[in-house]
Amino acid sequence: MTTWVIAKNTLGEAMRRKILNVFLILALGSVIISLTFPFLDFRQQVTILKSFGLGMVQFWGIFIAIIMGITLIPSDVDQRTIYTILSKPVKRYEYVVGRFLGAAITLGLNIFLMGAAFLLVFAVKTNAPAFTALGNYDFRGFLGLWQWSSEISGLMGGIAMVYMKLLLLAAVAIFFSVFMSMTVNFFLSSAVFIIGNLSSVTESMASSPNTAAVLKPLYKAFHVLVPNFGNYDIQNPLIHPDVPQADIGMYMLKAALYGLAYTIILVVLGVLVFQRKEV
Amino acid sequence: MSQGKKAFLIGLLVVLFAFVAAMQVHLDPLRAKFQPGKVTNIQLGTQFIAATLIGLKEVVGGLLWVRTDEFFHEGNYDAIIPMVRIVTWLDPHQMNVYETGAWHLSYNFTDSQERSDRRYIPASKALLREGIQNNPRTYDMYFQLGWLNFNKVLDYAESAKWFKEANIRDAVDPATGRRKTRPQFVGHTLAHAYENSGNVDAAVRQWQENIRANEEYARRYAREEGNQVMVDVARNNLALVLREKETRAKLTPTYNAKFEAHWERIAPRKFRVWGTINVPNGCRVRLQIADRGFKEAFFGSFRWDIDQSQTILIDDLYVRDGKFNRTIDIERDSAIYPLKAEEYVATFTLDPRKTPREARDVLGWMGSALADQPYLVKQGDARILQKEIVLKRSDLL
Repeated sequence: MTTWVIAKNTLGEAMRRKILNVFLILALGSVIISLTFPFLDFRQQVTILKSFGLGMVQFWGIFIAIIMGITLIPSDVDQRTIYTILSKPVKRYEYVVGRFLGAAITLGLNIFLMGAAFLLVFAVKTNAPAFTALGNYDFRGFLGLWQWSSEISGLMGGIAMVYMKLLLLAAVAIFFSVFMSMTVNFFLSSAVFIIGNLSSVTESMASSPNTAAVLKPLYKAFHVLVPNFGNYDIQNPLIHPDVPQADIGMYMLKAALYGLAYTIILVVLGVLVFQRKEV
Repeated sequence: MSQGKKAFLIGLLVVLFAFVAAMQVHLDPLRAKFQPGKVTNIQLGTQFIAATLIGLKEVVGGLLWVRTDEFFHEGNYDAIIPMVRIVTWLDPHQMNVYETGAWHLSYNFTDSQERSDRRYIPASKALLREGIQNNPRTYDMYFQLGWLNFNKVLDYAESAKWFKEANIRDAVDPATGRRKTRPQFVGHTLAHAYENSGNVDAAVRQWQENIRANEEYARRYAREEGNQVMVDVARNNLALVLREKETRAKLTPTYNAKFEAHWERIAPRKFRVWGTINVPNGCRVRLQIADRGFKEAFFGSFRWDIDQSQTILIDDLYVRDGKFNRTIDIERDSAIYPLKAEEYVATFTLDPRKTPREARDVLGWMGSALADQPYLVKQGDARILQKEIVLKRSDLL
């Protein structure tokens, strides 16, 4: 219950923070501006719209996840509100878990808003004749011409994958925020994100015949232990409807499980470190 | 926190770490199915450019492709192929990039007399095979590989193999991205490939199938214009093939084409080829000058670092009034024709399968009317005319 109260407070604080709102507005603007891509044929326009939309949700989501993750706990310490919180009957693990849950909900809300704007833009783009009819006050024509694209469900899956990726990133940032300053944490979390995206390189190094035998287990261990953000990079088959996608649902489920497990690891580690922290 | 709780959390961490490690090992092979670069020969994935970190691969690919088009119009051909590699790496489902890249490799690197550099053909085929592997469910890439063999390589049996694969797959509507029936020319081209490869019975069956499929297509897409024309074309072509089958079956091996071919050096890297052949106007005698023992390379994966030491020249010599004659000048084309080998073979070939319809009325589908004569060569069921002249390097330089 205490955890939930802290989570709700975290959400309220985050929604009042101007910088996060600025990122959200920039993200919505970026998604909407993609309607103006005029070059190439229609199919390529739609391909670029989908890629750009998912990319923008992720791009601005990265900033939101990192900025929120690195500031939540250190700002309580800097402003000394942590003393007030911990002087009440709040256990330290409840505080860390509550902060994390609040961040997860805030991130979810932001991704939901950006994703909804993207899907709306996609629906408008792929239903241009229906909107032309609407512009002529032809409501029956609008309803008759509107087509629900089966691709939207795939794109929703893509947005869910972006959320899982950013949830993991936020967990990384929150874990480091327990014992790092904000500036160091910003660069460290960004570095982990980049390395996590490059994990296919370590995978290749681990299996390359040119790699020294003694280094292979090291690369392999590095590959499986560093949070692998590349697991969520599956927008390509979602963007192209003609690509086989038979097992993609199961893959997404497994990738989500992986992310959830890694997120729990980071939160537990954060709790253990915060127990020993002197505040 | 009590020691018990701490021990529990540490135990939980160990279990979860084991879980994520096992899950990662499990996900690695699965991930390859859903991420670009699956069958490209760049093994390290697409994460090397910053834009891919934020998931903008297809945007970058699309923009690079626009820039590639500018290279083409600027005549900067050498820049195009690396761009094709990068764009198909970023987005292996942009099929027009494979198509345009293969066309560029096959046709646009030409010598000063507009003959294409044949050393790029294996690269072109490899690019299209990669396109097929990345886009196996639609007809496009199979058709393109068939068309390369049909139009450029003139290997009709091979082209029929790929057209057949194309003819059992759907298309994607470029306006909506939704699946639709493949264009009707695919079945027609398959039938032509059967005809040209001498497989007449298969051609007849394919034209019959085309009539049925074209009628169904015309019914299904009644709003589209021109579909009935395809039905009429298929009916006419079936009637034509049946008529040709009947008349050509009566041909006997009595026709002497009086084929002869000559080669003459005029100057370094400049020579004249000429000869006689008693076939209708419009036929072409194919001239190939290549390193002795030349064999077309096979590229297992797409690359464009061709063997710069090889020489292969192919030209089609037009026959008029029973004669052919051409001056081949490769003085300014030492990059395409390096002439590094000690010996070369100039091969003059008339293959009845690669002649116009009216010539095949005289020679037969597979040259069955050609009588035993000098230069008659049997290739399986086909009878072709072929003369080879072995040349020294000093003959050409």
